[in-house]
Amino acid sequence: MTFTHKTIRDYEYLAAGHRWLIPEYRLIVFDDGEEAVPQDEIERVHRAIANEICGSPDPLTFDELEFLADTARMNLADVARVLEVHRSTITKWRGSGAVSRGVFSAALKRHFWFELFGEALRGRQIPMEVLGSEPALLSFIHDQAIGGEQADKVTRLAA
Amino acid sequence: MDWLSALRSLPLASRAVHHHPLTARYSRASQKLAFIIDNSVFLGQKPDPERPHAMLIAVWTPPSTGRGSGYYACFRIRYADGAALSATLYCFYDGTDGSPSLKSEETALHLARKHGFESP
Repeated sequence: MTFTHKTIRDYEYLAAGHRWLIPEYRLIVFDDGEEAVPQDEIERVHRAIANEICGSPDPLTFDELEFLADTARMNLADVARVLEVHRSTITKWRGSGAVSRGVFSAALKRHFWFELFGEALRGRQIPMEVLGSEPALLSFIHDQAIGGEQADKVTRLAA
Repeated sequence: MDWLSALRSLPLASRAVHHHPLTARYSRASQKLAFIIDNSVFLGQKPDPERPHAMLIAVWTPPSTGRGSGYYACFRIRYADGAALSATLYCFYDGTDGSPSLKSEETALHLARKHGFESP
């Protein structure tokens, strides 16, 4: 079996309930013509999207929460344990399509970011001015993941 | 050959999702790929009628929440000299987008048999 690689530029991708523009999307092409996206490429793209979701000031949607959990290889029971809430709370969020605004949303973004990209902060100091503001902290750590080459930059497209 | 173990032992670069024009359902297939590979149960196998060195397998994975539709998936495993070389997910049902919702291994097995997947 042999295969070659093919790169699609500016690929429009669906994930976490949104459309994303992926600057480079890499496929493998088998010798019988079948095209497929390999799991390492899926993980690269999903980490980039996860970083964008975590760095966004918007409250988490349920689709985004499920996406972050899958990317971090956690299940939703693990998420309930992290937040110290009953699983019925997660079920309620699934029904409404949104995570409770405020502390849960921000806590989950921080949790998933550190699960996925915590290495990017190794040996770095977090400036005092961003510690007092959740949006500033999320924006700071988002940039650290890209600057530290832990995640690529992708763009969320308008609905 | 134990095809599911062979699939699990492949490197990430050799485990893939068939490239469709991306739909919401196949976006979910990509999102769930690692979970499916790690947690699925084997339902059956059949030779690929179009490729002499490929085996098709069907698997089912219980939902991560323990409730609702599980994930039914089929993989094309290319092999040579008794060893798996790559696996491509080419079919995915999770109850969305008009696909069947399979809530138990038994219902998934019934569908797999209907599609010609057999015990080794």
